[in-house]
Parts: sequence; structure tokens; C-alpha cells
Amino acid sequence: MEQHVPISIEQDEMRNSIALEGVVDISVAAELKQSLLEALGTGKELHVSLAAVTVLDVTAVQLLWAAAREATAQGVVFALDEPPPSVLSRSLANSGLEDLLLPTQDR
Amino acid sequence: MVQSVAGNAEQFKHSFREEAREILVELEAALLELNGNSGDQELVGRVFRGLHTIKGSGAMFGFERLAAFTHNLETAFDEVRNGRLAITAELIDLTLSALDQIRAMLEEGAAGAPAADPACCEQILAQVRKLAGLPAALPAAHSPASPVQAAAAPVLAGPLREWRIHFAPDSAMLLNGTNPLLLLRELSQLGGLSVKASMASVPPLRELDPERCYVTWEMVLATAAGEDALRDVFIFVADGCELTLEPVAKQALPSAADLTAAALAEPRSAPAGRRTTDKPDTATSLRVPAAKLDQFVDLVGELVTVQARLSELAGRRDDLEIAEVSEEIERLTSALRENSMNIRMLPIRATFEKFRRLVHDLARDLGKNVELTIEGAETELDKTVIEQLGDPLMHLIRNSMDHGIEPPAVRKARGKRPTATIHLSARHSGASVLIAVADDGGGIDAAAVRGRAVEKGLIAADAELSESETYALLFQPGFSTAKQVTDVSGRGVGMDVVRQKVDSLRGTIDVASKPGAGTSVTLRLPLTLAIIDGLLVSVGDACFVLPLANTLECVELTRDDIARANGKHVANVRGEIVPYIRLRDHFNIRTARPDLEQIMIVETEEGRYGFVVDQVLGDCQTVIKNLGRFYRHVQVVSGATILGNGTVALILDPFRLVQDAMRLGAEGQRARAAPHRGAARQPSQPAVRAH
Repeated sequence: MEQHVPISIEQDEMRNSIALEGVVDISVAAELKQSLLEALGTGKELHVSLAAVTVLDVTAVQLLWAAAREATAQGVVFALDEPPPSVLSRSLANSGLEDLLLPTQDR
Repeated sequence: MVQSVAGNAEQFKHSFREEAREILVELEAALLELNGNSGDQELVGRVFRGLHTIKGSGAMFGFERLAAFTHNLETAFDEVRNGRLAITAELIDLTLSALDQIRAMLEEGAAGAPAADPACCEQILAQVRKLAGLPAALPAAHSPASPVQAAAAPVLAGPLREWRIHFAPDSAMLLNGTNPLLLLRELSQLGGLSVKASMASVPPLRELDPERCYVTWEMVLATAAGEDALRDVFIFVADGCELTLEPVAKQALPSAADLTAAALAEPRSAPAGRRTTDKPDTATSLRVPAAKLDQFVDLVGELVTVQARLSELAGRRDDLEIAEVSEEIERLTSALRENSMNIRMLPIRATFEKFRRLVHDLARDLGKNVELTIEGAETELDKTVIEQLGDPLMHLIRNSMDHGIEPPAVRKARGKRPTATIHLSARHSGASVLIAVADDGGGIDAAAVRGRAVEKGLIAADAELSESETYALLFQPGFSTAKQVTDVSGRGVGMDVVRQKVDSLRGTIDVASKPGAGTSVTLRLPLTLAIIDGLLVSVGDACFVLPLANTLECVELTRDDIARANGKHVANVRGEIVPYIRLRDHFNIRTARPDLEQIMIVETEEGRYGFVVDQVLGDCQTVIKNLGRFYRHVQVVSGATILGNGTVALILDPFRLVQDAMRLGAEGQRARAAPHRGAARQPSQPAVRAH
């Protein structure tokens, strides 16, 4: 069965933008990792949008977190374009994961 | 990934089934206990939690129908817990039948499993709702995607307590289809939860396996639920995960944030003995498929045989070095054998507890008041023995309830307590275990047994039977004294099955009965069926093994001794007269008798007996091999073993040998006294003895 992959990537001279949508879970974790690695490999700013995400599971959170750490180490900007939708932030908060994404906006 | 999740799903369902079966057994026990003890909040809590776990995990692993059904029951027990619904016999009966349906839903798809009956489920639910005063149709429990959302309101049974929880899931947990976030959500429903995730273990992006979980959690939960309820949340992920639960001291409570910060700063090592499982006392136990265990024991058995050959070889060679190695291996093999036997030992509790339900249901159907008491449930015996005990015990209990125990009115008239008792007990006795089913019913009517046997043509009308022989008739095929055939027993199949089963386990049956006071049936079973310690003896060219556990001593028998006994088969052992059996005669071994023979003195239920052999060759650890179907009627031999030199030795059953010899002697006497009655059928000898 062909699955809709909820990851889309846009590139311009300054930045890589990764937009996630719908359910981002273990079934697309490998693709997400690949996208993040490729984006970081370019050395450009990495912007992630979670605006259309309904579910972010623990695999996605740890990938985003690891990417943010990597970017910081490389001195590359890693940013969430806008705060995650409130449903998502509530569910992240319930799992103790909310802080792990928010501070990265400053980086 | 999608495929591997699907592949694991079946496996995960399987372990859910296994766990749920256990929970169902516990639930049943708790419900039956509640029956006589309806005010016990702890029991109500146990039932509620059990249902809750089945529901939550059921939904998580794709048993939606089961989860939805269980949800209704859980709601009813929530009402009970909150004091809005009283425990009644009706509610307990309903819940018990609901458990049967849950069991059926659980096994759905398995070959030969009875399917759950939707109409019956609906009926049960309707009655439960009526009892609980709930609306006719409860809102659907939950969508599969959010199995725990509809979970119960926070548990408010006790005072609030704070727990510090450290949870590090098994990194492969996600591959099993389990979502740790759902567990956290379930936990949050037990009370106020503050959660802090730690990413300390997340590797660099390039090395990160996207399908593994690296996140760990530190939590503080303020809840009225007990530790068991907290652990229950993690019940299906316990294997491989790291879970510690610590109550936070009540005084000087730091803020939750401080606590989590402190917890995060702590080294990752969990305090010893706090690794998770559902029950604290099984903290370091693991689940092993029975087949693996059987294979292990088989291998140990082979090793024991090879070791015996090595010992024999070393004994024949005059080589100190080989002898030393051989002794060392003997010691290790012996320890290994004992260990492997121990692994197979299980307490009989589960088998016993299962009968609470049977007694409860039967008592209701028969209109009798019966209480089941259990003693020695912790007694351990070999799992193969335990597995085969269920049937015979069930038949004995059914028989007691149907034939033994009088209706309440009769009991009253006889001046007895209207509530009868069935006492199930187990205890060790040497290398055997004694399992007894005793009732305080009317006892066995020996005259009725006799009359029935004559009527059925089992014995001649004028046959002279001892008490023991009379009771033995009960275990004859097709025998039943019940005047009318009931649904419960009385088809005359049960007791026969008991005998066959006990025979196949190399056990014996004792019946004791007092008219008006009750009956007690005791099964004597060997602790294990696989390996025994034996003494190897020889008669002529043949070798036999006598179980060491029954053997007391060995004395010499000279021709003078035989002459002094005036042809009687008795020996004088330090002033005590001990009858003996010549194995040479018993087995028709036609070789010359040596001048000096040995008597192995063996303790049997009939007292001390001697077995005369030519030589005692020494002790041996013996792997019992079945003789096969062809020899299954040979009762005096409990199996065979392969000796070090490759020959086969028969393992003797001393009890049976003595009984066989007594029977032959008795038949001989009867034949001499009344030769014309030889045609009358004597009951074939089941190992039944009366007190």
C-alpha cells in the first residue's frame, strides 16, 4: 500500500524548510531522519513547520531534538517557524516533551 | 517499518493473551472472594484494576470488541467502588459469566476455541446496566486510536500519596507497537502527574535508529491509587523496561519541578530490586515457553544417562584421573538435575484456585451451600503432574458436591451446619505429594455401592469384599450410585477417569469415609515424572531399579535364614518380622539362586516389605522412559531406564509390587478355599485402599 508521506521539503538559497503534516510517527521516522540529515548536510538554516501536524510521536520528537542539537553544534540556525498547534502542544506537554522543542526556536 | 510493526503485532497480541488469561484467573478469584466478603474495598479495587487493565491493553492491541465490552463492566465496578452500587450475588454471577465471554473473545480465532456469543454479551451488559442503574447504552468506550481516554475517573480510594516514577522504556518498545505516550496518559488518569522527559540518551542524528525509543521519563504522580495500580499501567511493557516507583516522603514536600530536576540529575542506575513487573515478588522472573523447558529437561536426562556410562567406565578402569573427572561430572550432573527439576516445580495454587468457580457454580445449580477451603496451595510439584491433575480433581469435587454433600434441609435435620465444606489440601510426603479432596457430607454408603455393583454385574451377589475392595468399585468403569443422572455427575464416567489419570501419573488413590461424617479421597502422586534416584539391583541377568526414596536399608538373606522361617517369606530384621517378595519368583527368572541374597527393605503403605535380589549394584540417577502403550497394563513397573552399559533396566514400583503380591496371595487363598467360585469377577486391582 502506498503511504502518504507527511513530509515536504523546500529549499532556497538561505534555508531548508521542512513542513510536516498530519500523523508523524514511527511509520515515517526513517524518512524524517533522512530529510533532516540531508537538510543539515547543506549547512543552511533549517526551518521546521509543525502547523499542520496532528500527532507527533516520540520518534519524531527525538529526531527533531537530535537535529536541533546537531544544528546548534554546527552553528546553524534551527527554528520552528511557528508554535505547534495547541492540541499538539498540549499532548506534548502531557508527555513532558514540550520544552524540548520550544527552546530550539531561539537557536 | 509498517511491515515489521504488523509482524510484531501478532507476537504482541500473543503476549497480551497470555497476560490477560492470568488476569482473568485473578479476577475470578477476587470475585469469588468478594462473594462472601462484599465490603472488602481492596477486593473491589482489585477487580476494577483487573478489568481496567484488560480493557486498556485490549484496545491497545486491537481487541476493540473485548475492550468495549469490558469497559461496561469496569464502569459498573467503578460504581461499586464509589459506593453507589452494592455487591450482590447477582452482580458477581453476571460478572463471572462476563469473564467467560471475555475469555472467549480473547481466544477468538484460535482453533477449537468457543466463540463469544454476542447475544449473551448483550444480555449480560443489559443486566449489568440495569443493576448499576446506568443508561441503557453506555457511550462507546473508545475509538481504537485512543484506548485509554475513556479510562476511569481518578482512583480515590485512599489518601493521596506522591510517587516519584522513573520510566525508561525498552528501546525496542516502539517496534512492538506500544506507544509510551499512551502509558503516560493512562498514568495521568490516576491523579495529578507532572512529567519531564529526558533526552540524555538520544545519540547523534546520524547514529540514531529512528524506530527506537531513547527518551526516558521522570514523573511525579499524586494519587490515591496503590503501587499495584501504578505498576498495572506498565504491566504489558514490563519486560525490558526500567521502571522505579518510589513513594515521596510526606513531610517537607519539595515542588514537583524541583523533584523532577533532582531526579534528572540523578545517575541513571535504578535501585536494586526495583525493576518493574506486575508483582513485586516476581521482580526478577522471566517467562519461558514450556516447550523450551521440556527440551532442557530432556537434555539433562540424556546427560544423566551419559554420566552413568562414564561412571561405569571409570569404575572399570583403574585410572585415578578418569575417576576424578567422572566424580566431578557426577556431582555437577546431580546438581544440574536437581536444579532443572526445581525449575519445573510449580505451586499447585492456580489449579486449586480454579475450583472456587466450579464449587460456586455447582453449589448454585444444585441448590446446596458449599464452601471451598484450600490448604497447602504453595505445595510445589512437577508441572507435568500439575497439568494432569485438573481433570481428576474436578471429577472428585463434582462427585463430592453431587453425591457426598446433602441438601441444606437434610444437613439441618442431621444437626450439621447448613453450609457444607469441601477441603482441598496438598502436602509433601517423602518423594510423593498427597492431594486430598475431603467433604463433610454423608459419606459413602457401602451397602449401596455393593448393591449397585451386583446390579451392574461387576461382582457376584455373594462376593465377599473388604471395605477397600468395596470402595475400589467406585472407580470401576460405568459405576455410579446416583439414583438419577444429573447434569453434574452420575453418568458414571468421572471416577473411572480419575483412576486412569492417577494410574498414568503412577499415583495411588486412598478413600476414607465415615457414614454421616464425610468422605476423603487422597491422591498420592510422585513429585516428578522425569528423573528419580534409584538403587540398581540385579536378579540373575536382569537389572532393576528401586526408587531410593522408598528404600530404607539392605540386609542379607542366607540359606540358614530361609530354613529358619519354615517356608514363610518373612525375615527377622533386628527383631521385627518383615515379609518379603522374591523378585526371582515374581518375575519368573529361571537362574540359580546364589547362596547369599540381599533383601531391600522398602517402606510401603502396607508397612515394611522386603524385595529379595541377588546383588545390590549401587545407586544411580535414573531417567524414566515410558514403556509405551503396549506395556501400559504392567502396573508393577513404572518405567524403564537405559543403564551405563546400554542395557535396559525396569524401574519397579514398590507399592504396586506389594499390592500385586497381596492380590496374588489372596486370590491363591480364595481359589484354594472355593475353587468353584473362580468365575466370579473380582474388581481388577485399582490401587485403592480404605482406612
